[in-house]
Amino acid sequence: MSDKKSSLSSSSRRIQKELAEISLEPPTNCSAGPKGDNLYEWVSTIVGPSGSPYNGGVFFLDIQFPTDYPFKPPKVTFRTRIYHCNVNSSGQICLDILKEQWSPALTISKVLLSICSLLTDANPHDPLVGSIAQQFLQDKENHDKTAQEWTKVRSAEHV
Amino acid sequence: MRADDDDAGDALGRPAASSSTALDASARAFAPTTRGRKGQRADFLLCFAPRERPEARATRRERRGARSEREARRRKPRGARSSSRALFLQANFRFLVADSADLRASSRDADRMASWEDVVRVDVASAEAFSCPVCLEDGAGAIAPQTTTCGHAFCFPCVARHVLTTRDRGTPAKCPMCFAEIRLGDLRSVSRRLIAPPSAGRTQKFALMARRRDSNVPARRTAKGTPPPASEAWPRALPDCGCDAFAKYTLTSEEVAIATQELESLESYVAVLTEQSEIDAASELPFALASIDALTRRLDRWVERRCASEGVAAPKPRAPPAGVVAPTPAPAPKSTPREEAFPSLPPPGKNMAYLKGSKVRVESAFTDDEDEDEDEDEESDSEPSAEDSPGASKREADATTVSRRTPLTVSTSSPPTVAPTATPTSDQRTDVYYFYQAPDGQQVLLHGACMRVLLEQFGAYEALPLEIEGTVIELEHRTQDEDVRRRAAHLRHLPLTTEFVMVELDMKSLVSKKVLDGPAGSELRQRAKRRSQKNAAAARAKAKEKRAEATAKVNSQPFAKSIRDAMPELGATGKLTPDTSMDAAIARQLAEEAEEEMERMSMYEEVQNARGPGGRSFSNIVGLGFASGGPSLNFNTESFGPALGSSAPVAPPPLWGARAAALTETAIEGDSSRSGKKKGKKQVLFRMG
Repeated sequence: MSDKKSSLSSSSRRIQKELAEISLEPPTNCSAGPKGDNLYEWVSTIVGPSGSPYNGGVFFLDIQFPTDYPFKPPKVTFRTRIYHCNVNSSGQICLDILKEQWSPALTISKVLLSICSLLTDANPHDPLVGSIAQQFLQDKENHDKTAQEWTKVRSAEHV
Repeated sequence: MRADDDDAGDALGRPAASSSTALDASARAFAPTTRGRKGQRADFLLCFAPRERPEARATRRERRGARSEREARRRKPRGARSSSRALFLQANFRFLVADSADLRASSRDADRMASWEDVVRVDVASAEAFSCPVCLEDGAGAIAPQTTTCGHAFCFPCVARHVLTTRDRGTPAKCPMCFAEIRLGDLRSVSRRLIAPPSAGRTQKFALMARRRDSNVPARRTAKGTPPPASEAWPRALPDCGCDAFAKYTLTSEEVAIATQELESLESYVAVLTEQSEIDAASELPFALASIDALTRRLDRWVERRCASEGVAAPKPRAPPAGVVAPTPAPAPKSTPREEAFPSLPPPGKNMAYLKGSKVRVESAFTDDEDEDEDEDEESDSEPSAEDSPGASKREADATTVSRRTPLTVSTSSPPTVAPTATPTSDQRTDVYYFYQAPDGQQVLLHGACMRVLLEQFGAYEALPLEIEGTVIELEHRTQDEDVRRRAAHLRHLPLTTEFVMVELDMKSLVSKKVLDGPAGSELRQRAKRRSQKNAAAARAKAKEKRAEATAKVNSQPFAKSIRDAMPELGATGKLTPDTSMDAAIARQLAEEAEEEMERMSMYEEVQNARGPGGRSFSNIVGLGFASGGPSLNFNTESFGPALGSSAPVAPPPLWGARAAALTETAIEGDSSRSGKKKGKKQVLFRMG
């Protein structure tokens, strides 16, 4: 154990293990990896899940690992604009496992999986953008239409 | 992930669970439902599916028996969730228990867990090696793995860091896997035995087990005639401190030595960390030291208890033999002043002196944030339990004393013998249950039907072979419940919620043909019959599914739809009824071709039935279609449009004929094995384009 532990800090060891795992078995519709040389800065893509208004869109996300990862959650933000009641215009995501429900046993691939499921099933009862949530609850058809349009137009361009 | 969407969470959680470690998998069944403040669930990501809570049961505090008042006050009753977790933990894991423990209640009641305080180590049987879910290190990379009371295992420094980080935030520490409340003091060492789960078609060994009716201690039969262990005769640990594979509890007197060994591994980890002068190592050091601190406290408690129990059993320095464990007054040693319990103390060993140093450092590391000096002066620490440094050194010194005073009692190791005082001779004649279990201690049991033919072959339970081996035919996964208990008396020793597997072996090599064909083998024959029926049904269902899939594929092909879209105008003329219209003809034709294709693949008769008596050939479809069209239908493209137009007010779109014909052409070209007559008719259709 000693030689394994000698070279790197625990957080970077763990991030490397996650990188190996996510490259080997990426979660459905997701990919992720470091932006450059910094192991703590990742970029990720999520393909809009079929059956959701985001179907066909490609969403870029930034992932920033804290130095005391995995004891603190990673910061995950959308870089592609998305019409979603749990994601605001600066890309912040309202997801409990990225905040108070974080567990050090969660991995980034589980987080991405969770974001994918947030795209399929938005949570309008705990919105970050109230107006979208209201539309989601009252006029789902128009909500989905707008989301589709945004997906078509914005999915190529970055924030 | 909506608030009310429970099923989505489960659906996602279950597939992931298959790849999780055994600890995770086992916790899956009894994990609580954890919801975030905002109603979303995070636990499905942690590889287990939640289950319904059982009704409220005794709190952990009650179950654990006597604890000090201070601890009792600090601990809130945790109710049903922790109860079901603990039930699962005790049902599926094995425990190395200090032999000073009072196991009388647990011996009588299979569902009753020994006091957690007495548990020295938890033994987990798993098909996979240990991997810490926090640092993701596995095998040798994991440092001093510890299990929580909910049955999840982590490296000691990892879980210590998690607990201390969450404590800093002012929230109670939760298990990273199941969000149950955890405390550093409740952690226990965990060891993992690698096992190979049975699978159909593979060879499986079985060992003959025996258990007295009044006892919950099953034991492997080693020789014919030896009586099975009495009710409290829990086996003793092997020299390597390994747990007995079959019994729920294994007794040890080496708890201090075991903890000391673990401390050493943590020490070497700390040594590696201190060698590094990098900032990264500095951030991890406090938590490594915290885990050493927690382990030292545990060690202290054990030393205390050990000495107290030795003091009670004064004349005998050696631990009493298994089965006649002296009724230890559990709460008494706690109140005994330490000075009384250890009248004479040898000077502290070098190893312990180091520990003491590191212990002081732990405190300072947390108060002053960055104190990296290893050679710290020995100040008295400011623990709430008011233990001062000399006291600590005394206790640590005792650790070595005790381990010297109680050598490994190899002579009393397995097989456990019946304690003479505990068992009246009449009891030895009471019923003994025999069953076959996997020799590695997995709850893999031989099916009753196999047992019956073996019994027929060998005449009596006593005469059964001590070991058998055979090819696994069928596996049945079961969970212990009251119903199983009622029906299978020989399995009453399994605690509720124990997961076990009933295995049916191929008995041909084990018993004679005469027995198998005789009345004793009737159940096996029935099982074989049912199996073959089931297999046939499954094959049929699969074939049917395949057919449905192919039909759906044909129907969903774009051209069929486009034809249908183009056709209504024809039907609207009134001359062609929708049933006999062109698109129906083509669709039927395509479907039929697909069906014939399948006919070759799967069962001929079934396809015939599906087609109905007589079936429908292309020729009669075409005949019907165009016969009803009558003479007004001209196959000449030039005259086709006008002719139709004259009979109907709505003119068909000019393209329909060309499109349909082109498509039909491709459909026809795919099948060149048709009879000449059919081909001739097709030519007619083909000419349309």
